[in-house]
Amino acid sequence: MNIELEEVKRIAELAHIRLTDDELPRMARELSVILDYIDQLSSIDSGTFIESAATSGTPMREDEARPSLPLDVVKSNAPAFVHGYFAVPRVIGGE
Amino acid sequence: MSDLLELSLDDLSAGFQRGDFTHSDYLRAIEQQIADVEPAIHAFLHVDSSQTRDSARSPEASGPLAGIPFAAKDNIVAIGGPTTCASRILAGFRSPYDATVIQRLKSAGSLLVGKCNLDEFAMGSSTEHSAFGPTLNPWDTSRVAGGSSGGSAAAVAARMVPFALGSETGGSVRQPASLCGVLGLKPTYGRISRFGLVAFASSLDQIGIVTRTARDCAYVLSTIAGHDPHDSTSSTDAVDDYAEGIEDGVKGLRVGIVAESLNGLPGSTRRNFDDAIAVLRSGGAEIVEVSVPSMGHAIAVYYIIANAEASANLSRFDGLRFGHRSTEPGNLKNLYMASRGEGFGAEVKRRIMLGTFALSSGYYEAYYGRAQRIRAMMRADFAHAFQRIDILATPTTPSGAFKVGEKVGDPLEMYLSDIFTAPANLVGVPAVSVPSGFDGQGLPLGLQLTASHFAEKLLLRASHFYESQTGFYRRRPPAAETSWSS
Repeated sequence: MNIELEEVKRIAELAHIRLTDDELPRMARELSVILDYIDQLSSIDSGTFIESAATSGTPMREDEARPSLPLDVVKSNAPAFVHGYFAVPRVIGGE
Repeated sequence: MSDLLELSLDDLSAGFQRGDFTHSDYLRAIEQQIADVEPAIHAFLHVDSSQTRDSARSPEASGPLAGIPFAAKDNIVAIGGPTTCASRILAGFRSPYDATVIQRLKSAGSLLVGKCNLDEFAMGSSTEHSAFGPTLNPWDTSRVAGGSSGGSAAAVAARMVPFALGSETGGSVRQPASLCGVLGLKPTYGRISRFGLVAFASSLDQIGIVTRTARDCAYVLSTIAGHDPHDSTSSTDAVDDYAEGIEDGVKGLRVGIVAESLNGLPGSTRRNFDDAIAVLRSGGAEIVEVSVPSMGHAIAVYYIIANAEASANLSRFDGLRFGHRSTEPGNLKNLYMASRGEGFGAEVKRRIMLGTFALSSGYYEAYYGRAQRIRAMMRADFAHAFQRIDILATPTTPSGAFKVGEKVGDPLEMYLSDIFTAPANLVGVPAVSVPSGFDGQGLPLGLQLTASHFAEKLLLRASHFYESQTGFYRRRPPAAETSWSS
């Protein structure tokens, strides 16, 4: 399957990854080669098999309140932290 | 002193008890070996001896792991040091908690001496995709150690630690173990808690163990296996005493081989595999030819499912709460795109892109849906085979370690080195790679044994038989030799 440059840009947008002008054509080439290999699956008759989860059932637990991470620990890993919140660029009322 | 590095966990326990040497003596030997050998291998991203030295003096716990140093792949979090996943995007991150496996090993008296190199976010088969440079193979430092747990495998092979933790999504413990000439176990999906393992593909990921011998592996597995309330996918099945009965041999075991999977192998890999089968037969195993028709599609299925799940799991690395944040001005979306574009390496981007594509509107059914159905077919094929056999035997890899740089420019070629290992992850069954000797160039090869769900005990018993007959685990790689080695 041949992946066009425009398609790579569309996927990168969905994936929230900025690709440089050098990366874009290389990504298109590499994805095309990998998808060609993967296309071997299109000829397989998977018959009556259906998608299923990796494990049989997930055990449940009581929904109890438990302590969260202390604020100073969270802060120590945060790139920008103001008044107890993660600081981000303006979302509403911006550009 | 160097002899200490060759001792098994049993020998070490006995030596500590008899007073032949102390825990501090052993830790000093380990630290000296790391100081001497690590510069040529680059198995570690971070070594921390200061805190381990204090706790080594008199471990409070008793048992085979008390006072024993170990290393963990740097995608398993531990308090106190960095966890990078070999990625720039986790620059500066320090975990506020220990992974369950780390906490259980510490409770058993083990000492974490360092964090091992890996392909970025465990995506790769050579550690060449580490943002901090590759780990080199202790048998030939012009070659890769395998991956993604290449640092863990090389550290054990080069006698820098007696055991190490790795992680598996498609063979990332078994493949480097094979390439480095050590034992690597991927337990059953759900056997070991993944709390604190940075998620790659949640329906495939499992923590694995690298040791020199099956019995050492049994001790580690017995310590870290079992249900954990922090990981709802961890099994509530009872944990075996994996060392019990490990000497019972392979007499009467039905060992399956898949003829069609052996076609096209290099001659030296094929001969090595045939020799290994002969050893099992001489121990009284019955060799049975079986067919697992879907096995050949494992890589294609794997790269759809693993990357689809990765594209979702890695969305948490967005530069907002921890790790790398771009300084480029712009709105929130620009911040996401720039932070991820700057922070992720080429292979991680490729896989997120592939996974995003496979899940995107218009392609989901043709890729992800189909891959899931073929995965279900593989499960049925394996279940069918395990009605006739107890263990499935294959080579672990098609060939020995490749040269640094040989495959890094060809992603597909790199992916195909996992052709024998990926099926066990897709099916969820346990599998082990045991050192099976050397190819024509003196590079280690591995025998892979796979069994049905939760049959780790059987796998380790067969591994113990094979390694005690052949003794390949005793061979020491050239890079592990130091000036004062005997």
